Amino acid sequence: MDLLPLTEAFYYILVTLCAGPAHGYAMMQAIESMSGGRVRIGAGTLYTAISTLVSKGLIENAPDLPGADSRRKMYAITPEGRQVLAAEVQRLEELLVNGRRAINMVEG
Amino acid sequence: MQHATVKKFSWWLAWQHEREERWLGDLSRQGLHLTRSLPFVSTFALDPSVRFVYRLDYQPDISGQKRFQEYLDMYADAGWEYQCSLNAWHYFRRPWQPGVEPELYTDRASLAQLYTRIQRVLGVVGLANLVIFVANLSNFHRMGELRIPDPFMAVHLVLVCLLGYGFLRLQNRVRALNRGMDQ
Repeated sequence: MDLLPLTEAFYYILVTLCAGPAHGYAMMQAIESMSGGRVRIGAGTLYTAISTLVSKGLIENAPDLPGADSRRKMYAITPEGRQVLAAEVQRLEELLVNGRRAINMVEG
Repeated sequence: MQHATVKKFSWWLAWQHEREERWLGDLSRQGLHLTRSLPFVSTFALDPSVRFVYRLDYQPDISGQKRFQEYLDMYADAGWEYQCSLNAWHYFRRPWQPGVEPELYTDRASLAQLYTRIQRVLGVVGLANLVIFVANLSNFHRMGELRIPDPFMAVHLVLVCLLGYGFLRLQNRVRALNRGMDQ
């Protein structure tokens, strides 16, 4: 799959949307708190990433929740988005397993 | 409160927007805050009690008022106050804080996409002008009207070269970002 590896921004947007639809600013906040403040996504990067993910069909516009701020556009992950995320997690797991094994061999 | 306005002559090449951001930030430190940007003329409001940092964004693909408003809303949520636009360049600012350099683009991939958007437009305009230049050159030549040096053709040639130069500058930056090096 040519989308892998995902950038941190792409990866965390997909991770955040797994929990349910969200608007851009909510994603920004969720990502910052999830990463313990390490990943702070700039407005331009978020806007570009959302446009790219929508055009690749990994996320889509979601209908506004009743009573929610309709000024803000909501986004939801698509089945293709979940597939790509699962493939990326699998790829990262392989990296981690091999990395840990190498480090343990050196230490052990 | 109505602040006094100051106009300044300014011109920048499309690949110098980071320099323009620094220039606007320096003026803001002196109490001059951008309110309007036109070709060659920028207008500033005078207020020494505040200071802002400025960032420029280039978005030639946003069509329609509704999508543009959604774009501005997302930037506003992130703390960026929209000031004005010049063509597809949009000017944002936020209050200055010591030691903080806020950026619109925080990873290489999206920064490379920004440079590619600028580069694409330079490429199209540059190519169109090159075609016109060559067509003019051969027409004038055929009609025996080409005087060497022809001032109009000389200015046009400089313009074409400048566009080509900008295109290559941005090409280098995109390559460096894709190689994972900081520029």
